[in-house]
Amino acid sequence: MTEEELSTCIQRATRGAQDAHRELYQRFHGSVRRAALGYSALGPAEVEDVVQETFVRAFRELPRLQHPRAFGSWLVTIARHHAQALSRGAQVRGRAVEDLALELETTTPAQPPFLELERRVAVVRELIEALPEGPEKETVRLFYLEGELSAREIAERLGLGKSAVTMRLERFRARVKRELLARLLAAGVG
Amino acid sequence: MSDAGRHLDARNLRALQDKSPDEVAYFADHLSRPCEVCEAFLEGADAEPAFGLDALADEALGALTPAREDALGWARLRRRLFAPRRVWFSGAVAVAVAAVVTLAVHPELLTGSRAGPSQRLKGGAVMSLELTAVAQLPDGSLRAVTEDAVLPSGAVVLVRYRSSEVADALLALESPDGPAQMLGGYTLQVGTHDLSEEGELAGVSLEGEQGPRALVLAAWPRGPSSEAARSAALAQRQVPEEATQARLRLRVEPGYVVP
Repeated sequence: MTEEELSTCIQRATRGAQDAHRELYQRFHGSVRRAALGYSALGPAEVEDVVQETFVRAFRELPRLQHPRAFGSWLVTIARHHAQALSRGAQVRGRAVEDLALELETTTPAQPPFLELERRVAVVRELIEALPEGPEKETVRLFYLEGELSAREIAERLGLGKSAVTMRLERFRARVKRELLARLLAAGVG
Repeated sequence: MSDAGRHLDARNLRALQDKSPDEVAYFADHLSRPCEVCEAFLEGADAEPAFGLDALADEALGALTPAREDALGWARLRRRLFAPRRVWFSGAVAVAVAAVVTLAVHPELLTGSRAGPSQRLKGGAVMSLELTAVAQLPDGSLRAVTEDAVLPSGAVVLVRYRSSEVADALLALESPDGPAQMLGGYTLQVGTHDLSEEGELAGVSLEGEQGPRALVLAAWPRGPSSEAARSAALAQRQVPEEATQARLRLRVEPGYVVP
């Protein structure tokens, strides 16, 4: 889906077109689900709840989205908030919901063109390729490249604790963030 | 402290956001190589959100594998986003009918035309229609939906039919204590098929439902104006009793765990 197509689709969805909502869901549910699956505390039903709540929230807030290009990253931000809220337990859910409200109010900034999604995906693939062979690479490969297993299921397959898998995935995610930040700064976005 | 010893922290992250030239130049170079200290900072829960990094990373990580079509998830979401019109579905009380029924079809009653019976009826043909279903449970597993099956409200029901005719059809969810919900119009093919339209499976979310319900598939043989008649039936919220109707009773109990 090109940026122009995405923009058109979002505009149509904002006007209530059901087929546009469907197209957006089918295009982005994988990214949203993967963000939720990274939380090993969540079971399958909770992951599906996160997916549902994310899209319900996003579609209702769609008129406030200022930059269509940011739609995908905006979705996963909402998903992580919901997933964190479910993972942490009831006592902190209120705070997470407040964070979410703040996040939506400030709106997600437009992404720099030089870091469009395809480019970022290529960056991530390079980082995975560069990992030394070993348990961390195996975990990252199973979770992100094969994309079939949850963090919980990977822990079972590898005979690890759930937290160990979550830790490896978060560590790799931080590496991705470091790499993206370096590129942003090099391009003068900082 | 020498440059080589400087790593990301809350203070210099703010400086980067303020576009401090020295900081930007230093960290653009420093972060171009793996740094466990800086990555640990970015990993930490206390790291301040900056540059939309979390979202940029998560979107890319989630896009490594192409998403498969998720008909069930969309069906559930669509139900929440686009509440179906609530209508009284012509016919008997849901809980008092059989799972599979076969009735004669009188399409002229639906279209409003009284010019005469359809060609299909001239020969005394009787349309046969059967309805079965499978439910996807909240844990992702699939179960056949037998008559009077108890399902949790988190289940999504996929409908399967067997039809003796190419037909136009409507799907509804009946409730004994309220208006039925018209779930959509479909085209049926001869034989046994999953109920779908334009390649999309008809998944019925039970979210928000409680108590006895009946899925009702009403169909009539396809004719020159039958598709328009289907749209009209949906718009007018009326399905004739004479259409062939196949029903499947079930009971929705929120929180129910299927053994």
